[in-house]
Amino acid sequence: METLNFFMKELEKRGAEDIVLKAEKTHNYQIKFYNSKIDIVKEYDFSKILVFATKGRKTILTSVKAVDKKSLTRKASEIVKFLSMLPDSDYRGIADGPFKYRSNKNMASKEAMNIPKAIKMCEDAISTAVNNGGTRVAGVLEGSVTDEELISNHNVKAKQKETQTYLSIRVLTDHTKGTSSGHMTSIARNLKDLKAKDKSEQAAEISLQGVETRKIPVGKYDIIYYPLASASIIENIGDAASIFNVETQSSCFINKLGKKVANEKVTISDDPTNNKIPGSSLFDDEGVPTKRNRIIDKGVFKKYLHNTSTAKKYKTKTTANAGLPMPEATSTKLHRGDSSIEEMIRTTKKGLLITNTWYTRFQSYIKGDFSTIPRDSILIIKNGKISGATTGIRLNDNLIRLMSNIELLDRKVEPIAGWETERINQIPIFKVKNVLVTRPK
Amino acid sequence: MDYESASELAIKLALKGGAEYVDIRADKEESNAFAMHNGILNFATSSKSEGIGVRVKKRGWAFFSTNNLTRESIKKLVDKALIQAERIKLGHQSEMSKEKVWKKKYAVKAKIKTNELSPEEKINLLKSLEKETKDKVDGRTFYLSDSIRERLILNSEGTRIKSIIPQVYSYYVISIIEGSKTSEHFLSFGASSGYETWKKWNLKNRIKKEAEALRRGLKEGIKVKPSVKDVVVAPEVTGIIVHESCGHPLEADRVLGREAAQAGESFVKPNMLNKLIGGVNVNIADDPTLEKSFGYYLYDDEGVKAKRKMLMKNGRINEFLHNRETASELGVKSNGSARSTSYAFEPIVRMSNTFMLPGDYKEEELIENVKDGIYVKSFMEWNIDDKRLNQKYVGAEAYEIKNGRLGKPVLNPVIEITTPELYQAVDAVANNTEYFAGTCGKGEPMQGIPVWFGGPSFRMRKIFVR
Repeated sequence: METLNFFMKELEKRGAEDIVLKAEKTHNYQIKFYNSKIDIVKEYDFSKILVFATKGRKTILTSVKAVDKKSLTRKASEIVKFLSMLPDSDYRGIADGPFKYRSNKNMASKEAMNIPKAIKMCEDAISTAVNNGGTRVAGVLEGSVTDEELISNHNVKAKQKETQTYLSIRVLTDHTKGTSSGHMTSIARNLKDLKAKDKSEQAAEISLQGVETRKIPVGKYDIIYYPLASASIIENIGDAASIFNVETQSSCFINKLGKKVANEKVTISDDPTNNKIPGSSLFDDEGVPTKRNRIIDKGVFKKYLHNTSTAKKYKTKTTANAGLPMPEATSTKLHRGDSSIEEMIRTTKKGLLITNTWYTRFQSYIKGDFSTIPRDSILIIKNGKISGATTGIRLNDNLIRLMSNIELLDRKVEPIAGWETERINQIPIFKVKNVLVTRPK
Repeated sequence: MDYESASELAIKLALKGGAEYVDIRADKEESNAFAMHNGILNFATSSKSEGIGVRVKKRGWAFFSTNNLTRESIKKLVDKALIQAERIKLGHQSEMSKEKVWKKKYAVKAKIKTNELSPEEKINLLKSLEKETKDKVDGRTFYLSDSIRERLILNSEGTRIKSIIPQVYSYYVISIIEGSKTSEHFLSFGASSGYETWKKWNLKNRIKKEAEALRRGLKEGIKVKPSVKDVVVAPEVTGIIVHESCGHPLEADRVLGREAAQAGESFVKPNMLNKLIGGVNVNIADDPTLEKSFGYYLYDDEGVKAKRKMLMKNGRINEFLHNRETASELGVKSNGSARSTSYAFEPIVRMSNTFMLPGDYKEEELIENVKDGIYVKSFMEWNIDDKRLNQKYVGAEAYEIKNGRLGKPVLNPVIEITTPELYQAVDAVANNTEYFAGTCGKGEPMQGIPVWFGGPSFRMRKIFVR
């Protein structure tokens, strides 16, 4: 804190007006494995100070490495000099503190950084997958600890420490007709809660379900999405709620405030407040205590995500989604329903169960038109029962249409992370009606 | 301690600790970025970074990276890396191919250096785009960034390569709105050079022309009747096709399964070298040595001399992209394709500048010989499966071709096709090569790396379009 206070004074002396400084110290590791063997153990050790500074309506975002007071003094001069050369932006201010923060209970566990234990877990997960029918196993196991201290010259002081663990395991089954696969991920605050053995077994089971495949005709199908499969789609919905994306015409929620955008069964929040879920945070990038924000309530679009500056512009209150200089979504939560996977399958005449997707890409961000590619086992549902698997297809949809066609949601919401997403989101299994499925002719 | 001294220390400590092999990538980098939407500056960022990434082999492999360049921090990390490397009981313990030791320095000379223009002057470049295009384009996002990076590559065999490479990068996203219809397009340009390259991109004219064409498409465009047609694609589409369906599946680490968990594997197997999968006029290269290119380097991040690699030659799979590890596994020499986004990441097999080689035709000649077809000039949506077989490209600007002439605009034609079907359908290649910049994503943690992709227009006969 002493370094941050010194740096703050140096910036103020040189003419910076609003200032937010966040010192971040991270230590993480990753164990990578493929072809059922560990390949490499990696460690990352980084520290930096993130700097947001303003002068009038000019803003700059930068980061510095705190070495000594002399270099911080020099950097303060450089930053203010750079700032003075910028044109005005649409900046309107940061939050005034002080703030009270909720308890940081459950956010950190020493066990997350136990690398020997993590290596053993990888070896066990690989063995489990192979014993359950996998031919080859690939993935990563990661752990991290992050210390953050934030101050602003608007009377804000905040700090937090958090740990995170992540397992991604893909089980591949080679057979005479090719290769099938199953993929599971898991995110937690410690190694134990990753449930690596369960995830390994589940990935192997999915892989074996896709051994026998048959071609299906193109056309409309009801789709049941596993959380990993819908994560990039739900994350895009969260992104589209940021007022920044609305202003920059990269959102399907332009002029949607108060309008129906989804089935009434659909409620979506931005919610980084559950300490047990990695990615949660006590405060945003201005130091404002984070909170739950209902973006869509029973199908109606309720709220854009703001920081203090954009909130002032639109004469509303910050939703604690700084992001500086632009507001950002944190953890997008699709609320639970009252259904189950069994009911979803039972009520489907012609459908598919999608266990994973990748490469979600948009033709129009304004309209929300996109397609995504299912990967790993894709299960065919016919007359209420799983009846085989297929491969080589593509789902073509639109964000508003998808939300309007959500028919059933599972009772359980799962925190989900993956390679295709930048954040940890919270999603139940859900079923969507009438999705266009295509494939190369 | 600076990055050079820190690197020397790390290599010394690792060898003293019993490492069988050590290599290091160390960077010192300065970068700036600016973004503007409809005339309002969204953000200005500026950063400096310095650090080292160290890979050691001692029975197994370990890697660490840090920006804490103190003796104590480096010693601690080296000691831990050696312990982790030894700890892997079931590890791959893979070998590196034997390669020549190099001691070289090289630098890209910028005519207008990245630090020669003030932030204000750089933002003025975006402002001038705004001024020229605001009357024609409804939504305008313009982005500009620059960087200059010193990189040192060291290994325990004696290789020492030092490079200084400046880069300039820019992209635009435009939205055209006509009533309830919209058309959007993203395109990016980049070079290993100074700001002298900015003018050559001629973004103002490109954006204006594109906006006019997209608006005409919204007003007059027709939907394509799903059917088998001849399709001519322009360089922008060629670039994404060769990157996704030739470059990626020929990365040897995918072929060998190292990326199986996320970036995926490949439909190509090691025994498919020399297999005919495309038309005889399909030739695709990856070449990091193209001057001023966005994927430029002369030595890769394992210190192997860079060269042009012919990935597909006369329609046959000709060569994989290799680093030293995959080369050793397949019993060949590395062809210098190891890259890391920064010192912070391990080097993995990557593309650099991937492009289809030009043929003898003019683009007009490709169109002249089509009775009923589609010309796809640009695209927005695309994707491809994780074996690089099943891909989709959706046109942004596109036209029907009737009896050898361009006709009405076509709204969002969709090409959904497998890789062999695509390349087998190619019957003619033009000579109008263009390159576009991209940030290719691969690896865990994700490493976005600068690449070019491009080539000339080419024609596919009788493919399904909807």
